[in-house]
Amino acid sequence: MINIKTYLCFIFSMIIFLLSCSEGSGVSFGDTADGSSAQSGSYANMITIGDRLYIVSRSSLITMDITDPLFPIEIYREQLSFDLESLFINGNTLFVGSQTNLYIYKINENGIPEEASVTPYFQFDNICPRDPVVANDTIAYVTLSSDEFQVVDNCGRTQITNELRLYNIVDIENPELINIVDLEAPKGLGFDGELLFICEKENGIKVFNIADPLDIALIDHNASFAAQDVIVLRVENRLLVVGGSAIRQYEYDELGKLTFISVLEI
Amino acid sequence: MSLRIILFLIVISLSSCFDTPPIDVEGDIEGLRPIYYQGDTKEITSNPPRQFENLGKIVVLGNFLYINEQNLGIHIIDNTDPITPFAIAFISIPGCVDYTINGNIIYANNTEDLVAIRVDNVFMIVEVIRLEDFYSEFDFASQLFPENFNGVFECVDQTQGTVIGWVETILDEPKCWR
Repeated sequence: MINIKTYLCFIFSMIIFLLSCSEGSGVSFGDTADGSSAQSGSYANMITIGDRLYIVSRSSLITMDITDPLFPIEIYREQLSFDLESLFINGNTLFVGSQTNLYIYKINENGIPEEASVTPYFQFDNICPRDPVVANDTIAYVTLSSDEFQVVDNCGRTQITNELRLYNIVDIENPELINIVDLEAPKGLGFDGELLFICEKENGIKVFNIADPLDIALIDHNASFAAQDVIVLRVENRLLVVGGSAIRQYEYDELGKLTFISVLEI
Repeated sequence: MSLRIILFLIVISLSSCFDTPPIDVEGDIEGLRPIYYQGDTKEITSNPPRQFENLGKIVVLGNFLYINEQNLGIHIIDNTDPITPFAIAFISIPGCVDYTINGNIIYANNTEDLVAIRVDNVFMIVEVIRLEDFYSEFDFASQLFPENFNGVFECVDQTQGTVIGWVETILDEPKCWR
C-alpha cells in the first residue's frame, strides 16, 4: 500500500514538474515582457501558445502539436469557409476574422479550439477583403474595409463598407454588435488599455480612446503614409507600423498622443 | 421566340455576370499582379538585406523584427535601438505570406508546404521539416488567376516563371478580370 502511495506521489509530482515546463496555454498572447514569446500584427495567420501552433489557412483552422518544436504534428483541422483572413488569441479565446463572419472559439484543456459562435457581418453576401479582429476580455474590435474595385460582385453591384465594429463578447456564445464607427479604409489594428490604434491604408494611423465603447473618440492621427498593419509594444509604449515599403515607429503617451521615432526604408 | 434566341439571351446575360468588368478599365486602376519566381520554389536561403517592396505581415521577437516581403520571404531587422533600426538579412522563402517565430524556429508557408526553419544563426539557416501540400487548397503552381477574388488583374504570362502569389498594385489598363 505504501509502495502504491509513494508511486502515485511520484507520478503526481512528475506531472506537476512536467506541467511547469510548458509555458502554459492560459498565458495571454501578446505578453512580451519576458522577451521569449513572439508578438504578431493583426493580420497574423499563425500563432504559437505553449506547445500548440494555431494556423488559419484560406479555409481551415488547424492545430499543430509543437511539443517538439522541430517536429510539428497536425492534431486537428476544421474547415470553416473559403475566406479566412486572420487569427487572434486572448487567453483561452481564439478569434478568426474572415470576409463574412467573426468566428469565436474556446481553447479546451487539450489545446484544441471548440466553436463558441459564428457571427455574420452582413445579412446578405457582401465580400469585404481582409478583416482583422483583436479583442480583450469584453469587446472584440473588427475593421471591415472594402476597396471599391474588390466589392463589385459578379453582377456588377458595388457595396462599400469602411468601418470599425465593436462586439460585446462577455458571452462568447452570443456576441452582440454594440457600436459602428465610420472610417476611411481601415486595415490592421491593435490596442493598449483604453487606446485603440487603427491603420488607415494610405492615410496613416489613427488613435482612438475606447474607454466608453459607445463613444469612441479620435485622439490623434498621423496621416499621409501607407499603413497596413500595426504591432503595439505595450511595455515600451511603442508602435510598429508597416505599410507599402516602410516600417515606422512611434511612441505613445498615456493620453494616446503619438511621437514619431523613426522610419526604415531600404 | 425561338429556342436558339432564348439560349443566346441566357448565355449573354450569364456572361455579363462573369466576364465583363462592371467598371470601365481605362488608365490606372487598383488590382492584382502575379509574382513570378524563376528557379526552385522549394529552396530556402539566407541572403544579404534586400529592398523593401510590398511589405506584409510583421512579427516581433525580442529586439528583432521579422517583416514579410509578400510572396518572397522575410526581412530580419535589428531593432535594438528603435531610432536606428537596420536590416541584417533576408530569408528567401518562395510564396511566403504566413509565418510565425517560436524561439529560434520560423514556421512559414513555402508555396503550399509548411516548413520549419532554424534561425539560431540567420546567416546559416537550416530547414528542419517540410510538411508537403499542407496548404494544398491553394494550388499555387497551376494558378492562372487569383483565387477567391473579384476584380481586375494582370494576365499571367507563364514564360516569366512560376506564379507564387499575387500582390495588390496599380495596374495600367489590365486585360484580365474575374
